[in-house]
Amino acid sequence: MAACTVYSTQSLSTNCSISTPSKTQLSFHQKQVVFYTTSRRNSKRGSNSGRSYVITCAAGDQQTVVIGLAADSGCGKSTFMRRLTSVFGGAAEPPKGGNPDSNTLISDTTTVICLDDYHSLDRTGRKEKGVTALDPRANDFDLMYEQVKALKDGISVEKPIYNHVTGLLDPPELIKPPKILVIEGLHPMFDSRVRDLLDFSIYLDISNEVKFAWKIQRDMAERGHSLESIKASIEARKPDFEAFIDPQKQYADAVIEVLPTQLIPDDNEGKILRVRLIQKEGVKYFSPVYLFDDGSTISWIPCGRKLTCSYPGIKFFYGPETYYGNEVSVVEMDGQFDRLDELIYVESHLSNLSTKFYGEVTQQMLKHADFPGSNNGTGLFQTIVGLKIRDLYEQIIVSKVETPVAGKA
Amino acid sequence: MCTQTLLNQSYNLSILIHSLLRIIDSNITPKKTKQTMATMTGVSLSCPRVLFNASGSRQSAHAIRFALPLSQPMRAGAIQMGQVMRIRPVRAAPDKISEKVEESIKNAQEACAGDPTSGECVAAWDEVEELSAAASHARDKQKEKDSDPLENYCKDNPETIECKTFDD
Repeated sequence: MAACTVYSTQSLSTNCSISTPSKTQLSFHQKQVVFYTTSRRNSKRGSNSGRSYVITCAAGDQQTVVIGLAADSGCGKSTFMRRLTSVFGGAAEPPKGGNPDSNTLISDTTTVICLDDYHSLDRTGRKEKGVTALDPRANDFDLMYEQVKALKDGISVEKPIYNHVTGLLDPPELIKPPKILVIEGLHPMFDSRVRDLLDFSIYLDISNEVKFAWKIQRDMAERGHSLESIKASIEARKPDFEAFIDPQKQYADAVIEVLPTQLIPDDNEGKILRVRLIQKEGVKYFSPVYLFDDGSTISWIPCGRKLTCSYPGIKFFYGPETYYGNEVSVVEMDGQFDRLDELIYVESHLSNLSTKFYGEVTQQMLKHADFPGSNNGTGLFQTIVGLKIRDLYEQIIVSKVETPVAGKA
Repeated sequence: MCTQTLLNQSYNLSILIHSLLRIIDSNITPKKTKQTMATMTGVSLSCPRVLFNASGSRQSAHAIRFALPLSQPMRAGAIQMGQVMRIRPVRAAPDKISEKVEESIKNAQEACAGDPTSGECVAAWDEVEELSAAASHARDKQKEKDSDPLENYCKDNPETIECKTFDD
């Protein structure tokens, strides 16, 4: 793989598209175009051997940072996305004038795509074959890889749309390379090729008890649903979930684990949560958040003389651990914030938050006080991860400016 | 009456939070933010546990949406599921998806009657999950659509001129 020609031209500023064997749409909207050849075989349409040509628009000022977010359906991906895009600034909205059932969200800086769009089997197809959407056989990882790679290289793609209402694949939509691309869904870290494209990855790990409680909240109003049907659905999907989704957490740079509280003995209400932020050590551009002293083990109850908390209180834990053979730092919060001063107090005692001003975490939490989890560890850690990703993005951009484009090929 | 109180509470709370936000945003320099925050201690941050949205529902009173956890339906234990309660209905998902959810549950129960571990059964329950999630998203979208567009805009862009509030 080598750069062979470099064009610097203004005439390509209009959109044009070239069909490659992978059917990736190309559009040029940058000043610099780098042509190079690659011998990567097209595995899906593998019959055409030999070389396929990939054309990359790589401009020095345009670099797409790719973030992966994995979680099961109904485990708070959408809420997390709203917090994340809010930290980046500006609201993320569906593409204007497009398919109203599009799953994509676009803001000034960020594009969020839903990996359900890479279903290779639609609802009827899955029913016929007896496979779930969790099953890799229902997903087209070749296309997922090709398109995420293209976007990362600055090339627009025509991405399919999986329509969650009809269960059909709708005509594709054009996705232009954004500054930050978030791929969210069931399998962002399943395929090793896609995984290697990720600059940062997050897994939302919701314990069975909490998952059940959340789905009851979500579904009980729905006609036809009952406690039995909610339970049956979770149970039926469990084998595939454990086989294909859960193992991805070993690859995540950050895992947010949501568990029932330990503050109330034998609590089974699922109302108070114990949330753990598991942060991988040694990840480039990511330095974990800590409590008081980096690398120590600390148990902290902020409630006392200085801060009064209501029942059952708030408890923090911080310390180094091993997670799937990796060194990690864990920050844990059990309980919930009932008052604003509790949140401010906690924020002021956490270090390495990557905030831009004092109170930014509190401000973000307040801004979205209507989102689920804004008064507990889920909201707190989602916000913190958002800040860490903003910081990671800024560091990557700075490093790219320092190292010219040539370093890429 | 209970509904009304909760509705008012959540409304007041959102206004309160909104105005707090504006204070923070208009005092964006670090030092000032700190001062402002210090004066705000004691304000309750707790989110309303039950949110009823009473406006504009096109649905008949078929169901009550228990907006929060296990504890809620259990406390209401005296009331049987499916019995119509005499409080205002909450919006369920738009009708089309709701029907699909209901139908998919029936299909799943039928598909699992023979072998509960068969691919057919598992795929059918997976469809229920997919449709339930879609219905929930549709509800959220509708809720956003129904609320004040300026409020929505200001929630995401409190720093813009049209969202700033000024004291005399």
